[in-house]
Parts: sequence; structure tokens; C-alpha cells
Amino acid sequence: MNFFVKKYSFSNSQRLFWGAFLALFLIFFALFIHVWLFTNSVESFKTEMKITSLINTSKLIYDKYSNELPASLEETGKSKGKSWLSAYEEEGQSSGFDLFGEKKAQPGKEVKKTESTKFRDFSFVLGYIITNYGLPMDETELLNKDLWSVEVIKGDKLIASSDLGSLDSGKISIKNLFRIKKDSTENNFTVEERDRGFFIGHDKVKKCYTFKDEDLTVGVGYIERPFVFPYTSLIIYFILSLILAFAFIPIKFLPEKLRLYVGLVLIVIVGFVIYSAYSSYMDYTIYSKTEEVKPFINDLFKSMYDKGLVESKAEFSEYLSKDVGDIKSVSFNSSDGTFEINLNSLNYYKNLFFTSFIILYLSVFLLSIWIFYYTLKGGFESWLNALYNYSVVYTFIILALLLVFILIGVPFIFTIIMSFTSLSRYLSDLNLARQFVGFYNYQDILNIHHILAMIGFEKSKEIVESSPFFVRNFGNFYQVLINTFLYTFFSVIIQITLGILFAVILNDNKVKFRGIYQVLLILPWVIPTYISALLWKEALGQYGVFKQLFDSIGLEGFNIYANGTVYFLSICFVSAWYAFPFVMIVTLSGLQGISESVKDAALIDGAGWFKTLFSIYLPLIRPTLLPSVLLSSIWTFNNFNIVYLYTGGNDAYDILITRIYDFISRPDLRVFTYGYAAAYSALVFVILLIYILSFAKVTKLTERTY
Amino acid sequence: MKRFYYVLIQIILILSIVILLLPVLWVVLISFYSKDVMRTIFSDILQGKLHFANLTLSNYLYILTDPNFLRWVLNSTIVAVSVAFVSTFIGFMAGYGISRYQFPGRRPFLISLLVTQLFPIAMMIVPFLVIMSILGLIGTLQGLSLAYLATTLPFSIWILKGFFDTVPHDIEEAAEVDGATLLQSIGYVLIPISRPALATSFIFSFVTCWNEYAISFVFLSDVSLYTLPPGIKSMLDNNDLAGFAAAVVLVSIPVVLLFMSIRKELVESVTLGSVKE
Repeated sequence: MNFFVKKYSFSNSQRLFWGAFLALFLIFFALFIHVWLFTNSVESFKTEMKITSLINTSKLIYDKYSNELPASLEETGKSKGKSWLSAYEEEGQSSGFDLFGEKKAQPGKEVKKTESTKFRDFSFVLGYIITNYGLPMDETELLNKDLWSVEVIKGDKLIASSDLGSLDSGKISIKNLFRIKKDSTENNFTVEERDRGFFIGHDKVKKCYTFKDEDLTVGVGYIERPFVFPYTSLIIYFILSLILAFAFIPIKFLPEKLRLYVGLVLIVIVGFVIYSAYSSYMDYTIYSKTEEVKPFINDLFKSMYDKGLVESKAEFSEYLSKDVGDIKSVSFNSSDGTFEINLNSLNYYKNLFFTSFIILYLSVFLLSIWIFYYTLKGGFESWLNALYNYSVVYTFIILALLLVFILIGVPFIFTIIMSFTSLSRYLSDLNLARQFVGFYNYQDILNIHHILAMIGFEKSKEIVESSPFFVRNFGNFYQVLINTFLYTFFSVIIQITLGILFAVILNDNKVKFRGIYQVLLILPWVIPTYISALLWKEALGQYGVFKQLFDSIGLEGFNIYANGTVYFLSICFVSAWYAFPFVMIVTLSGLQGISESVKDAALIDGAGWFKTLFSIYLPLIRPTLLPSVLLSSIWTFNNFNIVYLYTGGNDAYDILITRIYDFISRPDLRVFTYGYAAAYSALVFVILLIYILSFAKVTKLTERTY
Repeated sequence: MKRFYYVLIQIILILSIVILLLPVLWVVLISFYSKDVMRTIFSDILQGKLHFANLTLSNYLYILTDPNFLRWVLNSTIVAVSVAFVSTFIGFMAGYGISRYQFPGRRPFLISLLVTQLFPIAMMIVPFLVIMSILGLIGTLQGLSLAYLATTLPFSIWILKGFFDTVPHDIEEAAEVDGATLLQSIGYVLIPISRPALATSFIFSFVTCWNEYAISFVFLSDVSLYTLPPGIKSMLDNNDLAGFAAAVVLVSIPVVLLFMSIRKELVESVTLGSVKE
């Protein structure tokens, strides 16, 4: 065959150039990624500050004046069908949006009011704020105007709204689309913290934040900013690293021993310059974005003060500095006339941005230093030579390589990255940088109090009992883990028993109609798993065939759901029902490999049926059986379809895989699900890896072919 | 004694098969009866109340004229066929390359392919959802097909690589001696002899997509874009047992036939040749 051709052989200056270029471009690429995330994050950070201040103001008004609300809020429903603009005009605000002039509504046109006037005044304030800072008239205004609407709801009645029309008609527009769509049947969860949903109410669907207290709901609809991808800057970075790489070529005049070190020092210097420049850029941007919020806050206070809704600045700024759910607020000082941002309270956000940047930057930096070293030693050439020599193979596999990397590698890496963030389900912004939470998710999942409470520590039990809804009901990772292992164990036992029994029976030449039985017994394996699961659920259910069967033989009152253990075992059985034909086929093909003389010898020695099975058949087919048991136990462990569809997503019988699915498909469970679910996935990955490796080690499966 | 033993074996086999396949029998039976006898059909048969004269095809007619169901079948077919085609095509090229040549990176690539087969699809949902919504592919059949490709591609590569390992080099060398180029020897020699392996890969990919529930349920929110699994689940949620039974039978038959036709190759492929004597 062909031999290795060294087509590419670099001179020293070429090596220096390529090494420097690759290393620098990698550093710039990391910078690019972070700039991309940061610029988008900081924009929505600005919007978030406005939103939290509106929510806090609503809380302030509610706390101060809730006693003025009538005991039962009657629906008025007077101005249905009017646009909210016309509702303002009827209130006497016909000339623009001069809501704070002394104009009173004309007596003849007055709309019937049942709400407290304080809340109505507050609605005017909200309307003024929204018209000034929200509701862009065209695309160009999108950058400065980002708010859409505010609604304050008590129970299920609207008490204040930036839209007077809907305040009078009592129509609530803020809803959670997800909940309406998928959980209409079991909408009995209370979400205790902030919830992000969608806002319906105009021709386009907008995003919204909803904050829920015990009896107060505040929803702020906002306009989602398009996610900008600054691809032009990537070209600039590319050219910049090309130019900088030329500066590395003169290093070749240095003595050979020094070259590497000088090059490394240069790269470190460049890296440090980039780092410090970008740090100050981040600092400046965060500061300037918060400055942009200042007029908004001042305007909000002024209009509230004019309406007499708030007496002092201290009161206002005290409420502003409250955290909204899990969003940390930025507090304000009210020293000299206007509100100033308290720079100390910004530090929380600054730290988040900086930590994420340092982690990304350091890891990429180390990689780029290695690449520089590797290229100087001639590594880059060897790659090029391999590409040249094996160009035929690589053209064959390039598509597969790329697809496997993009479709499996990237999602896998992404899962790991996401597991360190608090990425939320609604993906209003992909603020991986701002949502960086370190090991918080893992800490949350592996919460040691759950395991201590299971063993019986009273204190841990109290802690678990007093924790939030989600942690109490869905946070116990260890319980799910134990369930999963029990389920896998029992199911595999049933599979192996059934599979081997049928295989041994069908292996006997003297049994008639073997072919038919074999085809029938393979059926469970080839019927689609989701159908099997639904079928068994129906068959064992209230009107199912088994209930009818038991009724007809006189065993009334058959109920699979009555006993938890029985139900759990039925899950194992259904899962085993699906998988046993596989064990059967494998065992059968193993048994057919055993020569007749061995069987005859066993017969002559007078070995019984069981003795033959355990002493002769099983040891002989062990090498073919064990890998299949490993495979089928992994499939059972991962059998999402059977468990999820058979139990109907019942939380008490979740295994790890279905639990992850719950986090994703049930929006009422938790706000920051994606980060949490990603951490869960990563843990499941580790558990599976440990299981596979230890199984392979224990059973000496390491000589498997690949 | 011996004879008694075999009669006993026959009885045990028949009984256990009947019990194991009872739900399947039941659903096939109710798909042929009218809606009102559905819930009590089994006890009716045992008590002799039900007659074969009452057999009806109305459930099938009903389901075959249901625009939603036809739409789901079409969606599933589009997704499954396109994924199966792409994954078999790429699997063929990659399998050939990996099997015939030694090259740097072969071993890690093979090991990574093996590992990906062992991990559940539900784990990939989170990153897929995020990536697809960035690309704007969420809620579309294209996005769903990409996600499915991730699950079928490693297996296709593996099956075809395993097949080419069993085909001797001499075949291509003979073609080469006869003056065929690489492409010609692939087109005229390799593709014809690798038809069974191509069929296995195609059928397996097709059936995987046809049967997938978890991703499609999360990805597709529009009922008219549903594939069969979430669609059939939604029929059951609407208490439409008659339609469900007929749909289940219709949907399962092609899958069962396809899988039965390749079961031997499939078992050999998934156990990675360790079953072979």
C-alpha cells in the first residue's frame, strides 16, 4: 500500500507564524464569544432593571393601599372592544399623553370606576411610563424602548394596568402560554417565585416577567431584543491575529533555546493586554447601561410623587432595593435631588460577568499556549501531512465526522456548559455569562439533607420539609437514583429469566411449531415501545382486558394502582416484556453453538434439566450472554418510552431519565429548569459511565471488539 | 413420560404466549368492533355474548378519513424516510472509509461512536432545544429530523463498518485490476453487494424515527405538525380508544414486518459481533 509522504515541512519562521496565528486566533475567538454573550446580556440586564423597579413599585403601592381595595372586586366590563388608546382619550387625555396635567376627565364621558382611586392613579403612572419608555413606534426605537405593558393582579382580578382599556374591561392579558397548552388538566401547582412567560395582547407575542406573591401578581410585558451575532468583528479578529502573527517571525533570529520562551512570553503579554482592555470595557459598559436607567427611575418617582402615591424618596428607594424572586436588585441612593445607582449593589452582576469571562479565558488561554508549543515542535505539519496522505479516507468520513461533532459533540459540550448556569426554560435571552452559577445546580441536586432525611435525621427532615415546593417534591435525587436501580435490577432479572427459559425450551428440537412460537415471542421486541407502553397501561387499567379477565374468573376488585409495590413491579414487568425477546434471541444463538456431544454427555451423566441449564448451558453461553445483559440493562436504565408512557409521567415512579424530561416538559415545576436539567443530565452521564466501566471490569468484558 | 413432558411444554408455551400477548390480542380485537362494546369486549367473548358477525371495519374507515391522522402519517413518513436516507448515505461512506483504511483518529472516532449509542436520547433534549431555538428550528420537522439524525447516524456507521469488515479486499482489487476507478468500483461492485447492510441501516433508522416519542413531543407544539407517537398519545388522552386501537394496528404492522425482516442482522449489529460464533 502507499507510504507516508512528508509533503509539508515548515521552516522556523513558518512554524512561529502558524503557531502564533493559531494561538492568537483561539484567544480572540474566546474573546469574541464572550463579547457576543456580554453585549446581548447587558442589554437585557438594562431591561431587567426597569422591570424589577416596576414590580417593586407595584409592591409598594399594594402594601400601602391594599386596604383601600373593595373586599370583592366586581367586574365592570364597561369599555369592552375599545383600544386602550381610545380609553385614554375618553378619560380626557386627548392631547398626546399629558397624563399629569391638571385635566380632569369630563363628567359626561366618565367611565364607571369601581377600583380604588389610588390604584387608578397608579395605572396612570404606569401608562405614562410605558408611553415614554416602551411601545416603540418603529424598528429604530427598539434600542431605547423595551417595555410593553404592566399589569397588577390580585387573585384573578386586575387592579392596576398600564392599559386603561383593559383595566375597565377587567381583561387580563398576561398568561403563561406553556401552562395553558400542556398543563390545562393539572394546573394546581403554585409557583412561588418569579415566573417568565409570554404576553399575549397584540399582533406579536411578547415576552413577559410575572412576579407572584401570595395574593399579588405583577406582570411586565417587554419587547424581546433580537439576538445580535457580531460576525463582522470575527473577521476583524482574524485579520488582527494574522498581523500580530507576523510580529512573531523575527523571533527566529534568537538562539534556539530561547525561541519557545520568548514566544510564550509574547503570547502571555498579548493575552494580558486583551484581558485588561476587555475588563475595562466591560466595567464601562455595565456602568453606562445602568446610567441609562437613571432617568427612568427619576421619572417614575416624580410621577408617583406628583400623584401623591409616595411621600418620600427613602420609602421609594427602600422598595427599589428589594430582590424580585431570584433576581438581585440594584439599589439606588437618593442623596442629592435625583436617584443615583448604588455602585456596590452592581458588584454582584459585575462579578458574574467577570467570573465567567475569567474561566472561559483562562481555559482557552492554556489551550492556545499548548497549541503554540505543539506547532513549534512540528505538530501542525504532522496534521497537514496526515490530511494530505489520508485525503481519500478523510473525504469519505468528513461528512460523518462533521455531523457527529455538530449533532452529538456540540450538544454534549453545551450540556456541560449549561449545567453551570441558571439558564431558564423560556430562553428569552441566552445569557450564559450573566446566569453563571458555578456548582450551584450540582449542589442543589446532590443536597445532602435529602439523604440524611431518608436515613432518619430529624433536623434534615425539618430542613427538607421547610424548603420550597420544588425541592420538597422533586429535589430528591437519591430517591430517584435508588428507584432507577431497583427498577433496572428487577426488570433485568425478569428479562433474563424469561429470555433464558424460552430460549432453552425453543432450543429443544423435539418441540413442535418452534418457528411460530419464536416469531410470536419476538413480537414484544418489535412492536414500537411507545405503543407497548400505552397498550399495557390500557390493558391493566380500569376498563382493560386484565380487569375483565379477573372479573370473569371471579376475582373482583382487581386494581393495579391500589398497591404501590405491585404497581412498581408492573413497571419492571412491562419494561422486561419489551426486552426479553432480545435476551432470548441471543441465548438461542449461543445455545445453537453448543455441540450435540456436550448435550449428550450431560444426558449420559444423568444431569437433570436444571443441572444441565446451570452447570453446562449457562457457563458455555456466558461470553455471548454477558455483553447482551450489559446492553439490555443499559437500555432498561434508559427506557424512557416505557416508563414515562406507562406511568403517564407519574412523579412517584420517575426514573432518572423521565425526571429530566419532567423538568423540561412541565413548566410549572421550576423557573431555571434548563441549567438544572443539564446538570441532572451530566450526573446521569457520569452514573452510566461508572456503571458501564465497572460492569466491564467485573465481568472482564474488556476484550470486546471494536 | 417423555411424551407427556412435550405435551406439557406445548401447553405451557401456548398459555404463556397468550398471557404475554394478551394486550396485543385485545387491541387487535377491539379495533374490529364497534365503539360501544369496547370496554367490555373480553368478558363478552368469555360469556359468549359477542359474535363474529358484529365485526366491523368502521374504526379503520374512521381513522383513515381523519385528516389529523393522515397528516401525522405523512409527517412521520417525511421525517423517517429523509433521516433514514441521509443517515444510510453518510453511514455508507464513513463505514467504507473506516473499514478500509487505517488513519490517525480512527480509534477515538470509533470509541466515541460506541459511547454515543449507550446514552439516552432524553439527555440530549435540553441542548437540542436550546440550539434549535437559537437556529429558529424549534417546532419544525427539519429541526426534528436533525435531532433524529444524531441518534441514527452512529448506528448506521457502525452497521456498515461491520459489514465492510466482512467483505474481502479482493473484490475491489479485482475491479481495480479491470481498470475501474474508485467511484466505479463503489458504484458497480460495492453497492450491489452491500444491499442487505444498507437495508438494515435504512430500516433501523426508519423505525427509530417512526417510534420516537420524547423529542417529538417537546419539539412539536402544533397538532398538525405532530408525528405519529405524540399524535397517537393524544388520541388516547381524548379517550378515543376505538381510533387508538385501529391506529395502533395500522402503525405497528409496517414496523413489525420491517423489524422481523432484519431481526437477525439487527441482533448481530447491536451486540457488536460478540454473538457471532
